[in-house]
Amino acid sequence: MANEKAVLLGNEAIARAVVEAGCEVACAYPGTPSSEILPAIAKFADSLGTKTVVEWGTNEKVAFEVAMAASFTGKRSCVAMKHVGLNVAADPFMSGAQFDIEGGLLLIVADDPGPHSSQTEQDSRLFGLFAKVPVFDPSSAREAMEMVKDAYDLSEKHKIPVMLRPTVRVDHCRQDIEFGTPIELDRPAKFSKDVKRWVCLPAHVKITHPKLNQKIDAVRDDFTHSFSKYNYEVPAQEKAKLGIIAGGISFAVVMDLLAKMGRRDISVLKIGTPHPLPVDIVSDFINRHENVLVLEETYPVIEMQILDRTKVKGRWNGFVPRAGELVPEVVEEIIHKALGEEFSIKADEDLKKAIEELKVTPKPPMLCPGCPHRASFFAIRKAFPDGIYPSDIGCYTLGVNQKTVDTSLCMGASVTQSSGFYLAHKIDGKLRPVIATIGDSTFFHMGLPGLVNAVYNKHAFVLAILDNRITAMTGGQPHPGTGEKPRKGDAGRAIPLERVVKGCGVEFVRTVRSYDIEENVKVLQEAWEYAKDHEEPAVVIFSHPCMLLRQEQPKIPVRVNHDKCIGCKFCINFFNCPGLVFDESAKKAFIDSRFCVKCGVCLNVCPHGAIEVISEEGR
Amino acid sequence: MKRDIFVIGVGGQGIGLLSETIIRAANYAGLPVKGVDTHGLAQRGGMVTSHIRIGDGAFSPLIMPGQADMVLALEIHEALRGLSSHLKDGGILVYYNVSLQPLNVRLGRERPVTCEDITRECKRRSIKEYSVTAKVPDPRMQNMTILATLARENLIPTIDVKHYEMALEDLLSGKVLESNLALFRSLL
Repeated sequence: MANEKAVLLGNEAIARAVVEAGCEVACAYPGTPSSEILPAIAKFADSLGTKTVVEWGTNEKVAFEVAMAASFTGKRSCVAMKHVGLNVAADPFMSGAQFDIEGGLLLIVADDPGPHSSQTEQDSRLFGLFAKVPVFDPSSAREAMEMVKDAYDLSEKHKIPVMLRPTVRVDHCRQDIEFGTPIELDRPAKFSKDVKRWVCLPAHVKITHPKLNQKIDAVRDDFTHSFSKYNYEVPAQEKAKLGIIAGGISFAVVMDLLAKMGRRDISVLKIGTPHPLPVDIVSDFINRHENVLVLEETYPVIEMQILDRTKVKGRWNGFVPRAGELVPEVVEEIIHKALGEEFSIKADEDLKKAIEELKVTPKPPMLCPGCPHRASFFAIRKAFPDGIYPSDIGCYTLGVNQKTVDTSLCMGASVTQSSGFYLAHKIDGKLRPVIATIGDSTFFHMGLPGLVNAVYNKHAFVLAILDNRITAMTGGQPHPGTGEKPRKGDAGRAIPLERVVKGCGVEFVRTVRSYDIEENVKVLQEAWEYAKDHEEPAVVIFSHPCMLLRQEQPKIPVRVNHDKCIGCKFCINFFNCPGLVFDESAKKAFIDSRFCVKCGVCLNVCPHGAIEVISEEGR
Repeated sequence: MKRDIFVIGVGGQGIGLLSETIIRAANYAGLPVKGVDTHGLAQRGGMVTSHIRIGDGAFSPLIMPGQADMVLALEIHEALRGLSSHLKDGGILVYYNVSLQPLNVRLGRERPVTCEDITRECKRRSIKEYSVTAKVPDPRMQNMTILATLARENLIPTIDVKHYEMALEDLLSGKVLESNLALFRSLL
């Protein structure tokens, strides 16, 4: 890329900085809001012609460990994930903090306050505190870029992994970004054997843990004295009635609000390095103010590190809501409350009423029209109307609309929870069919250990792997089953699911076409009989490409025959397609041509045979 | 020059392209700009909104409810929603005058929103209203009619036609670029 400036997404800006900083090994597992980072690293590495290796890892733990070993050899490396990904990578993260690493290791963890598309709104800065790892908390994409470079320098200076913690508004913000020149590091891989340094024996931890404490003290000293570009005060122009300590995007929100409110009597302390907290800077600010408010997302991480919280209002004491995103309208109310001032939002009652009458409410998310998962879920329910349906994390969690998702806990838990459900019922001597659903990417991510466990311990259930050849929910990344890699000209090797499953010791493995509902009902019933008889898991791989891949498939136009439709709503409740809707006044279902993609799957759905093929398009 | 622009639609309408084009055009015009899309599960039919902040002094990419100078919508119900949630009194509303009726309206159980409703609301709140109608060859190109209105009426001073075109050239290519550009130019 020859131009010096461009409008970039926050995640792309971070990626650009990673390449400019001389990162040579970059790994990630996709997850909103982090998913765009790795492809952008590949894009910039391609355009700048760097040697950077860019890879999707099977899961976040894998990605972390790959990057970490590269740093043992002196290479700069980077690993990116979403906040819940760090739960998966927690093991290497906690241990890794204690190593005297060689090349800079940057961990990018994208948090999702709100949450917008996650199962938790946990705060990764607290994870940094837990592991004793330094954390940068950017308040804009530009600042995130600068922080990437400083993080690498800090990581190498103190020989410690460093975390950059952007939140969704930084990841998904677009702004104009000035490019820098990539630094050229001439660092051939050099691994110097040293058992005390690279092997975390308990005896070594007695040395490394105190050393880690010293490192963190030294980093705190750096954050206090050398990082005034990230930690600084915006003083009030008059005597301050309130002092606000703000980190991350909350700082940006506060600055906008002060301008809007025209306040000259509020001072702000920006904290860009929340761990280890530059305590002296913060204490000095608190000492100079009678009234202090801390605004941060999502946990009280800055606040908890303040030793004397007597004057402090924040999330710790519940003055600031203890959950949820700090959007401007929420922050405005909190600031007024902290000042003890009356505040009411001017609501236009007329318009509010009109909107309510019109019910212009957003549509809830559904599986796409033609989605193969819908057909798979329908067959599962038809085969086992009284089954237990553990499921997993991905698009298919939306199978909850079809009442075929009973549980969803975390990546891979569909398989392990099936074991638990089986055992609980087996103890009582009353088996119930258990049919788990998991996606292809999720199966490789964390489904495998659970499957091995189930074969080993002899747990009977049916595992349906919904293979749509893509990591769909996060925007369509490849995975071990597809074999593609992010950098141009870089090819991986595809690993066939069926062989993996057989390799785990599963005897009953069938691959079926997702759309064949009738056939798949039989296969599923056969699978459960086999599982019960042999006390082992049986696997059915449902195969059909994701609709987002837009592959050609036969078009089968359908209609609802209103003479046959009795208005039972079975199709609405158990098929739940955007293309099938119900007319409450006529008590009939009909096809909504705005959404129907003519997949023809619903032909098998109506118990009264009311859904029919039409020979020509239109009605 | 400062403009806070709130864009609203549902997944698949081309909201992302519209807002990214405006952001890039502002950048080509030498204006500081920030924007953010919120799209949770947009690809699966959810709501998409986009915040664009042009001009100096914007720290966060988020626009407060009731503070947008301008709301852009690709459909009449969304126009009303954006108008009520984000547009300030005396602001500007640009919307594509088509009604993709919610199901309840299609079934005759609720009254559809009409452009008269929008006009009445705009008059009451001194909002300047641009109701856009134009023949487009493909519904996915309705966003170009909004873009052309911004350019023709010079609704974002400093951003010229050529800046919008440069932005489109960045984001599209081949036949898609040609047809979008042709439509954009025909409406100037």
